[in-house]
Amino acid sequence: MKKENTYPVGKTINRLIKHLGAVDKPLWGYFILYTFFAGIYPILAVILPKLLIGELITSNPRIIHIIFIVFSFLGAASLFGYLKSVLYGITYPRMTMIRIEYLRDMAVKLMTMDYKYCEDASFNEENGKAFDSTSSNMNGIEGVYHKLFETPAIFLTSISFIVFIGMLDIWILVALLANVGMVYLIGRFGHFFQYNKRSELKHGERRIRYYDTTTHDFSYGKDIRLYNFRSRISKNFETEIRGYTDIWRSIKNREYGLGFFGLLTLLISDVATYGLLIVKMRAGMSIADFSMYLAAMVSLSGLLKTLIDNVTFVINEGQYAHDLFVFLDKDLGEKGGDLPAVKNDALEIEFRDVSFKYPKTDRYIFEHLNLIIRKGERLAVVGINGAGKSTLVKLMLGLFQVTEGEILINGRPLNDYNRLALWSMFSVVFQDINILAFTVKENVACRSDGIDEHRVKAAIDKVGLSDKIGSFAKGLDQMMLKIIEEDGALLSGGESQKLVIARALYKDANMVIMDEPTAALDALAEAEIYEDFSHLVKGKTAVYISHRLASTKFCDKIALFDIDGLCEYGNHAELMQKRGSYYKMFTVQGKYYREGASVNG
Amino acid sequence: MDEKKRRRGQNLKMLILFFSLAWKISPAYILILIANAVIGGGQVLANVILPKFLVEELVGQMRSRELLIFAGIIICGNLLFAFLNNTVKRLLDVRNIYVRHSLSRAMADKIMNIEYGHLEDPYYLDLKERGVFAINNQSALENLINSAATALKSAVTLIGLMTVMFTLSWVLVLLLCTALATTLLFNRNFKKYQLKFFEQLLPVNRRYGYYVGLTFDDKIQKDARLYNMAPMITDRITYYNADINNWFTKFNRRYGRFSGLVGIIGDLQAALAYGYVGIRVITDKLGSRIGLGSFTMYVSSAISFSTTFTQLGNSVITINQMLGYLDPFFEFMRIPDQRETGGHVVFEDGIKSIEFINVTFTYPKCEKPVLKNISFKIEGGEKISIVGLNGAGKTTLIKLLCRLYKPDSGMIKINGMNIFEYDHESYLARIAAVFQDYRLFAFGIDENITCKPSGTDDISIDNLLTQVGLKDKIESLPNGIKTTLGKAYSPDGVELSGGESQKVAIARALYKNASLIILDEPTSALDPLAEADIYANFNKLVGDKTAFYISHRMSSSVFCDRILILQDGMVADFDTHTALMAKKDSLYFKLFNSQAENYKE
Repeated sequence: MKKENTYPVGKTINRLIKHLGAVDKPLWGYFILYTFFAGIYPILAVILPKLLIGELITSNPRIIHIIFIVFSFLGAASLFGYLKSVLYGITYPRMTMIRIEYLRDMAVKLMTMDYKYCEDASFNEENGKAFDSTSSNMNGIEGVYHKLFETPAIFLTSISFIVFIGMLDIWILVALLANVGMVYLIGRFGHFFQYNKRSELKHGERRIRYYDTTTHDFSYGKDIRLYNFRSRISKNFETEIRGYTDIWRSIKNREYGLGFFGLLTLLISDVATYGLLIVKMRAGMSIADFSMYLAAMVSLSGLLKTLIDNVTFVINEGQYAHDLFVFLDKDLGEKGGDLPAVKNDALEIEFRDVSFKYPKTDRYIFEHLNLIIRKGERLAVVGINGAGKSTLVKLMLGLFQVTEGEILINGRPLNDYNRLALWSMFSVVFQDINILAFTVKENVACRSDGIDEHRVKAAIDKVGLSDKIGSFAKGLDQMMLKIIEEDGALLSGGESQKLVIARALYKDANMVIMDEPTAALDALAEAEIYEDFSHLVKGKTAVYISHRLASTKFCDKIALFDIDGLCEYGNHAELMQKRGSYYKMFTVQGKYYREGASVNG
Repeated sequence: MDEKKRRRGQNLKMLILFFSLAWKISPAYILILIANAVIGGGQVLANVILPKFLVEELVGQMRSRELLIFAGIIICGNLLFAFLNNTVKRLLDVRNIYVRHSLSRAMADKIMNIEYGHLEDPYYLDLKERGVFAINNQSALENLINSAATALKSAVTLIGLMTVMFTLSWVLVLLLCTALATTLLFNRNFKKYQLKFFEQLLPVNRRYGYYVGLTFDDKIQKDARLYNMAPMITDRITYYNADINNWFTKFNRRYGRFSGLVGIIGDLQAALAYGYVGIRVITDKLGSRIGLGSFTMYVSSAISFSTTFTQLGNSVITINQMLGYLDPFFEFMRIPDQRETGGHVVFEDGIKSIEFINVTFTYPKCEKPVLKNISFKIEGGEKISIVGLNGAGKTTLIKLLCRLYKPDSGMIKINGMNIFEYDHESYLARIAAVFQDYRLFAFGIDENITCKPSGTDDISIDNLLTQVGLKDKIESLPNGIKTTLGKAYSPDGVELSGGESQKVAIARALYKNASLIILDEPTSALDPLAEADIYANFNKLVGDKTAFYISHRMSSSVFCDRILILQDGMVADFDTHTALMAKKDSLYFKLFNSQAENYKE
């Protein structure tokens, strides 16, 4: 049988326990008390009948004795049972807390790890288990903690019963253990078969998940209705579900088949139990003892099965905890070098012989790119889709590493800068507009405390959002989006774009980068932004990416990229004179405007 | 009192809805659940009743043959039930998977069938999010199903056990039922608390889920790093961690005490049962004396009764808890499907005229109308550009034309007939749209274009591909036109760039052979050369169909026949480009020139 649990089970559990001890010492005390009470509680229920029946078969059973026995039981059971429940209730949420703190640690790591992992689809898959480990009360890390907490008590009770029954007759014990052992083996074989099917399962799950997320996404609604995709999607979804269910069916069939071995050992165990007990009765054992041993056997059988289930669970789910630890421990390239941010100076960026292709791909986006963006210069980056304009920005920001060559900022290698320092030097407006469920001022300042409200107001004014923000009852303190508060505010596409430009303004960093910042704006709003662009970037180095070549006219230099890399570089007049690709694009884009304008003269 | 009744009624309604949904998906499922309950009950009863005969023989004559028979019956009974349980488990395990995913699919169907307006309503978006969250993250469906199965089994068992105990004496049943009633009272009390608790917790959970979700959202990761948003977000998560922990600590402490009390009542029941039955063995003061065998049986049934009842209580609590989580899911499923309010006239011919007559429209739950008294008429075959500032109502007009919404007042006519009098399907078949937020599916590229299963019409697709400029790209793919879009579904799918995807969407609209084409910002992701291609070929692509074209790039108005200007929800003007440009202080003139200026030499 192939070992798929190739993770260090012992080490992982050890680490889990150590962590628990470190953050919540009192839990140990509770745990010991719980184990004691929960361990003994089931034993009471086995002793009671023995004592009672013992009294009943005496020659002169007395009612008063019956009552005494019953009440003692009631007292003891009530006490143990109640304390056990209360202790469980106190300790359960403490383990939940540990899990959600792990979740927070994972979140921190996700937000600060090297950016390249965020665009890596396989990263998510590889670390899927790590991410799942903190997502529920009953599985993953918390599941393991709960089982570790509950199981020693069960173990305690089981040992008591084993010793007890063993003292009567070792063979009954052997038969019982054989039966339980077989149940365990069946479980393992079943799990092993499931493991073999895991890639089929994974594919099936991925396809079902695609349908889940797509069909549950409201933004598909128009196209589904307009192009009549309803029945196709529904049918495909059904097919996927059936296919997936079929995989499970074959796994379960195997399990079911193996179950017959379990029936066989059950038969043997029962025959041994009843047979031996009856023989002993004929040899003189009392009916009271008979009942007690029988009850103990039934109890023990159940306890051992639970014990095995719990141990199997811990071993299986422990894998998730292990994957999480691997993820948290891994150095995912967060910090960068030591250089602090450049202060009070514009940036000069130099691409020196830079070649780059995305990880795990073959196509070079750039090869031997040489480009200098001088201090205070305004550079427009233009080109067809797929030429690499956004990639250029990602490299400049250290979000991806160059494959060959290097990038220098003010003469120093990019990687020498501390990452946070590096990022503090850029005010960027990306293509994706992200307004988050925080207040207006938090969205602009990107922090929750230490917000300079004057600066926020100034930024909002500059982008022309004062009226809109002023119309909110809470003004700058207005919560955005409706997910946190029902009366949260929503902005239109254009207003949202202005808000993220305000964010860049507030930051007031050494360099400004704008990637298609006016794509969602109408012509007048767009013109406003162009007008202000000079104000926005005054004195700073700036990079402006756009399809709309008219906007690039304002820049000092223009870099035109095509599928082979940087193909034209110069200012607008120079490039127009060249009559090259830039000239072609500019003319083509302006054609209809000139036609339209010329109609009127 | 009313609130309690309403809640209880609501939970019951949800449960009924759940089972009716499950029955629709798989009637066999419900039947297996019932069989599971009956078998479970039968097993408990067998374990309670059969030993009586063995015990009686053991304290009586100890005849070998009888001992063999009775022990044999017990052993065979165990074997039979083990076999039946295995079988039911095999059936249930597979069905559970099928039903769980089918319920998700039922939601997908619902989303595709409800009135479109709901999909743009933040209330329903939020409802859907919460429903989906419960299903995916909290395993609410699985837990509900399992608890329902246990509850059913417990209920059946309880009935059987009560029957057995009645044969001894109604006094025993009375004693137990009194203890039971006390438990029920506690249960009711706790349930009230539990409902209130989860109601208050749901929004907390949702907000927590949002912030955690942000850390997994790849769209925000660039901004998060550049603007150092991590502390802001993770601080929120820490805050909610503490908040959630407080909630759950309170809840679990209460639950611990509650289950402790229930446990004590359970032990009390056991004590009473043992006491009463024991006394009936000794004396006939309370009724005719019974033998030791019967003692075993009655005591056994009393104990089983308590444990089964506790099981039932716990299942009911879990069911309530899960129903609480699933409340949004069920509320969503209860939304009525869109009733076809249209007429039955089949829309066959081409379009001869489109007319808006005094159309006013306000979005549901909004105060201000987006469109006020819109009136205009266009001839068939005209190409109309719709122009206006952001928020002017351009996209809304389109949605009304597509019958996604219905005007508050006024009418839209095509070919002289109110569009709502046409049969819905044939009407939609004549309209093709590329929305600003168009969506493509993880089917083959050919299927995305034809909206039909692969293998139809290759020739016309080929022409289309050339016209939109996709032919080279498709030929470069190993599977050509049959390549799946996107990598979410299958690893050998292809990720198209923004521009290439837009071309597929345009091809899809053109393939449909509709009479009316609507293009909403269709070239926003295309570079100037590709955009120029589309413009140049526009008339060829669209042919003699009627077309609406919305764009911020004013250059597109030049090749349209007339331009509709929307300002503040009203028609500001409707004329040819030449005529509009003559009005030098109009909005149109301003918009056009602000962009055209940049292309002047």
